[in-house]
Formats: sequence, structure tokens, C-alpha cells
Amino acid sequence: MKRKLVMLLAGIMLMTQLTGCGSGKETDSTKEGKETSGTASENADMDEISGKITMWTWFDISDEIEAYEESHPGTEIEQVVVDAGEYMTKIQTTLASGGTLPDLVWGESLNRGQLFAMDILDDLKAEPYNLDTSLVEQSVLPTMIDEEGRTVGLERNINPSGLAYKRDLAKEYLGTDDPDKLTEMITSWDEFINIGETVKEKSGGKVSMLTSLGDVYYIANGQSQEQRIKDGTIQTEVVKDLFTEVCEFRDAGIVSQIEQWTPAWYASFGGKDSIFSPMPSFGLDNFIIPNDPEGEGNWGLIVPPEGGFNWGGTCWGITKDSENKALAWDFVKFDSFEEGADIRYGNGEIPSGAGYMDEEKVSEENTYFSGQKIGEVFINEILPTIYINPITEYDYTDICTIELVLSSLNADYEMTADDAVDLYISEMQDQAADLKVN
Amino acid sequence: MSKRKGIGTMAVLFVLAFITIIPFYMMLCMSTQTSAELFQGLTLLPGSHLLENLKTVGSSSFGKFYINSLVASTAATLIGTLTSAMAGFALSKYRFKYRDLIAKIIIATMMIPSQISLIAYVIEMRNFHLLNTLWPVIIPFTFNAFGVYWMKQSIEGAVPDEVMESARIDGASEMRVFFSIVLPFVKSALITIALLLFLWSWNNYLLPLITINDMDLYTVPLGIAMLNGMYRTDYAAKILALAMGTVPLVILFIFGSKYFIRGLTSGAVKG
Repeated sequence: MKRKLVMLLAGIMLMTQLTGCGSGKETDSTKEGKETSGTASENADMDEISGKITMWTWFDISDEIEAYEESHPGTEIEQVVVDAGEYMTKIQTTLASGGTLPDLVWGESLNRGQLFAMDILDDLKAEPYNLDTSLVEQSVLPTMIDEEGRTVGLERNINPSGLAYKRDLAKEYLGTDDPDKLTEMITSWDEFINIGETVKEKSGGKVSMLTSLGDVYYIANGQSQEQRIKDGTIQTEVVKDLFTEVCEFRDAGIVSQIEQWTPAWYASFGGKDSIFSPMPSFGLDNFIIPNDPEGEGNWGLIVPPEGGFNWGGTCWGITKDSENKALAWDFVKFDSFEEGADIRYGNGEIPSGAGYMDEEKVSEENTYFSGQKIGEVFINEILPTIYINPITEYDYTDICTIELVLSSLNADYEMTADDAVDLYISEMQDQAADLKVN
Repeated sequence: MSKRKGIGTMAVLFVLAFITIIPFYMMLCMSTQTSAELFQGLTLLPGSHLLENLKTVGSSSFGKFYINSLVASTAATLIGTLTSAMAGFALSKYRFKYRDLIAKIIIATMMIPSQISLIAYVIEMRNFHLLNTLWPVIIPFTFNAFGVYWMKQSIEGAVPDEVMESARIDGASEMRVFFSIVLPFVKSALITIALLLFLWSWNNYLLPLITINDMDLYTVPLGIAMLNGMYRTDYAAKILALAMGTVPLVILFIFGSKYFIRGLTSGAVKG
């Protein structure tokens, strides 16, 4: 009897849970990825901000959402945090199954070409948004424009990148840890390689200049003003230039044989095996502090030879099918130019909206960098040198193929730049048969 | 001689057990360290970062994800085991038209990768207004082709027709025959398929990723994946979440391992 009662109660509990998630959420279930309570008439009026929107992100931005909801009574923003690696899978499956996308989506620098090419995002410079792009840091504008020339994204942050270095290793092997003297010393990449060969000799091959060929790629790619894929055609000469540069670094023996994004690569930030690391403005919180907790005061930052470069980036996009564009746009503005951007600035990000690059805001001394004003280096010295190539729908395929080729170059030192080019072209054509080769 | 042989066997078993257990132990140790410590090299000693990792995992509503996973997996297991046993019983003990054809079709569906039918399944769920509920992650396991095949084979080999006939002669209904006569005969097979269904459902990642758009309904694998960043992943916290995620499975396998092994080996030797 007792057992039957327990079974019955367990059954009732289970069914309650299921119906709680099911029929009780019947209204939710109709949203299929979003819930918009803004009516058509509300949407017609961009000044009337109310109702509910949903967004898919890959990290939590609750601080900005809570601040927005507090200052905008009658609004509700539902955030769904999706695994960064599966973000595009979710979007593609939702589209393929005829589902409805959320009101707001994110585009990462690697996959936004794919996202833009899906033709699911509104042009933010057109009605009803009328984005004034003069309010945005000008160097990031190319990352917001699709291949049709429409501004379908709004970049959240700027991501200027430079060369970070470990002061103790620099002092030991380069004779100084002063950023100005290092900048004077390393005037070109050829000079960088020459110095690296000396370091290699002095350390008995134990210390390298960079950790990974991936690091070399990020710098070379970021500094290149030539597109590898232009008008649906692979530019062989540009590809060759890239791999020739990578091979020069590799063959000089100044790069450790560690693959990028592996645990060993992350560990290298806390190790004593390489002096320099390319570092984006978000690198302090994402790469250095988590992996070098004892390294406070031991880091320095310089502008790389030939200037800085961009690394990564996340943009907002408003989906064409959004039923509450007024609220979606108002939140994007809040996050980009208003209090939401202030919150993010306080958390260490540098919003792309004008005003976040003022002298007073970037002149803080950073204790991790031994009091160096890294904001000033990023904003005043690196940012003006940045050039970003246009976004293409092949960007994601390109980076996946590049990583494959780099891995091969890393594993096989006999592989030449020409071999790398051949491998790149054949892999790219396997994955995107419509690509032509020039 | 036999004593020496016994010691040798014990030594081999000890080494095998050690090899099997050490990754699990390492997972527990790693869940108490910082991500930086993980990357510095392997250590077999616990760290001092457990509370911080717990805080990171806790900040992602992991408790809620846990309950959702428990509800979904329990429902999938209970319903899936029952339907598998019933279908297996029907296909093995009843004679009806197209019986063999139906059995073959069920087995054939096992050859089709589930990814192929994913889009169609999502469309189906939408038409039934079941998206954004836990049902889409439960239903695929409630009618499981392998479960049907497994129970069909088990019932066929383990339940004598004479015993069923005797029960019928004594006035037992077909449901009574099924629950009181057939199921006790195939207890090990039943527990085996229940454990497998729970395991598959618990570890399921793709279906909840595609069909759930409400974080209140996220399951454990989605919760663990949430700890992935684009450029930074807190691996230590992620390993702690994984360790927490394996607890129900470990408990179930501890209690069910005897039946599980018996279920797997029941067809191996026929007397």
C-alpha cells in the first residue's frame, strides 16, 4: 500500500513537472525561439517602447538587461545563452525547420559572414532604425556591413590588438623591459625574427618569441590589407604571402610548436617559454589573468611592427521577422551608446560607441602591466593603425581551413608555403565548390 | 599453484580497476583546481578552488538544469522502458499479420542516423506545439527502436510460452500476463534498457540545443556548454559541472550494475 502511494505521488510529481513545462507554457511554446508581445500597431511606432523581446547570446549580459528593464518599466528582455560553438547550428536549424528567430542575435567576427549572408537581418542604417554610423568608431565599420553593402550589424566593442610581453623574459633575453625601448628595438618583422634567433641561441632553444603559428597568423592576417577571398575568388598571391610569412617565422625556429586554443597554448601565458603574445584588448581578462594569476606587474604592451590589428568582435543584429523592432533597437542603442555601454566599460570592455575612447577614460594605469597605461596604447597608438578587411560569406570556411593548414605546417616542418597554398585551395574548394581561384 | 594464480588474477584486476578509476578520480581533483592549474600539468592532489568553481557553476542556474534533466530522463526512461517491453512482448509472443515486417522496419530505423531526421522532427514538434517544453527531448527515447529489439530478443529467449498459457488458463488478462509473468522473467533486460535510456537521455545534447529556447528548461549538457566562452572557457568549473552531471549515472550504475551485466550476458550462454 505504502509503495503504491509512493509510486502514485512520484507519478503525480513527474506529470506536474512535465505539464508545467508543457501545456502550462502553451503560450510560450508558440513563440518558438522568441516571444514578442508588441503588437503590429506598437511596432509601427518606434517611439513606443514596451513588451517583450528575446535574444540569443553566448555569454551572460544580465547586468545590462536588468539595468534596461529597471529604467524602462513595461519591458521584458529574455536572454537565451547558447554555446558559442553551436550558435550558428542553432540559427541554421531554426531557419531550416521554418522556425522563428529571436529579435536580437549576435555575430562573431569568425561567423558573421555566414550570418550576414543568410539575409535575415535588417539594415540598421535604413528605416526605422536610421543608425548614425558617425557615432561608431570608424575602423570597425567594415565589420558591420554585408556583401550587399547593407549595415546589418552594430559592433559592440572595439578590439585593437598589440604585442604583449613578459617583462622578466624581455629583460633577461632582450636586455630591457621598457616598452619604448622595445618598440625602438623591434622596428620590423625581419628585425623581430633576427632578435628571435638570438634569443633562441642565448636560451639554448628553450625560449621562443611567440607560442604558436596561430599567433603569427593572427598578426599577419590582421595586418594584411588584402582580401584572401574577393568576389567569390580565392586570391592565390594573397594566400601565398600569408603562408610565406608564417613559414619564415616557423623556419627561423622562433615560434614554439604549440597549437593555438589548446590547453598548452592557454598555459603558455603563465609559462616561461615564450616572450611575446599577440593580445587583443579583451585579452587581459580572457587570456592573461586566468592563466597567469601570479603575473601581476610582469606584463608589458607594445605596438607591433607595421602597426596594430583587429582581433575578434561581436555585433548586434535585429532579425527581419522581429515583431518588436522598437524595443529591440532601443535595447541595442542602450547597450551600445548609453548606460549599457557604461556598464560594459566598467567591466573592462571598450564599447565601439564614440565617447569611450576619451583620454580620461583610457589613461588608467594597469597594475598587471606594471603601471603601463594600456588603454592609451590600445586607443591612441594601436587603433589608428588598424585596417579591417570586408566581411565575406566564406570567412568561417576560410578560418577553419587556415587552422587546418597551420596545424599541418606545425606538424611537418618540411611543408613549404607552396604546399600550404595548395592544401588551402583544395580544402576551400571541397567545402565551397562555387569558389573560383585567381 | 592456484593461490598464485588467484593473486595474479587479482593483480590484473587491480591494475584494470586502477586504470578505469583514475580518470574519474582525476576529474574530481581537477574540479577543485583553477583553470590555470589544469594547464600547468597533471596533478593527482585536490586543489583549493572548489568553492569558487561551485560559485561559477551555481551562477548558471545549474540546479534548475539538473532538475530539468532529472525530469526529462526519468520520464524518458519510464515511458521508454514500458513501450519497449510492450512492443517487444507483442513482437515476440503474438502471431499477427506483418509481424516480421514490422520487426524488420523497427530494426531498419536503427540504421538511420538521427541527425538526418532532425529538421523534420523539429517541424513535427512545432506542429504539435511542443517546442519550448521538455517533451521534444523525451519523446525520441520513449519509442526506442533498440529498446524494442532488445526486449523482443530477451522475451523471446527467456519467457516460456507454457508459463504464459498456464496464467491465461488460470484467468489472467493479457495485461496481467505481461506485468506479472513476462516482466519478472526479463528483469535484468528491463533494468539494462532502463539504464541505457537514462544514460542516452541524460547525455543528449543536440536535441535540447535545437528544440529548447527557454533557459528555464535547459538541461545539464546545455548548462555545461553555457560555460564555454568564445575566447575563454573556465575549464575547471566545466569539469566540476561534468562531475556533478555524472553523479546520477554513477548512482544508477552502482545499484543496477548487477542486473546490467546479467542483462548484457544473458544471451551469451544458452543452456
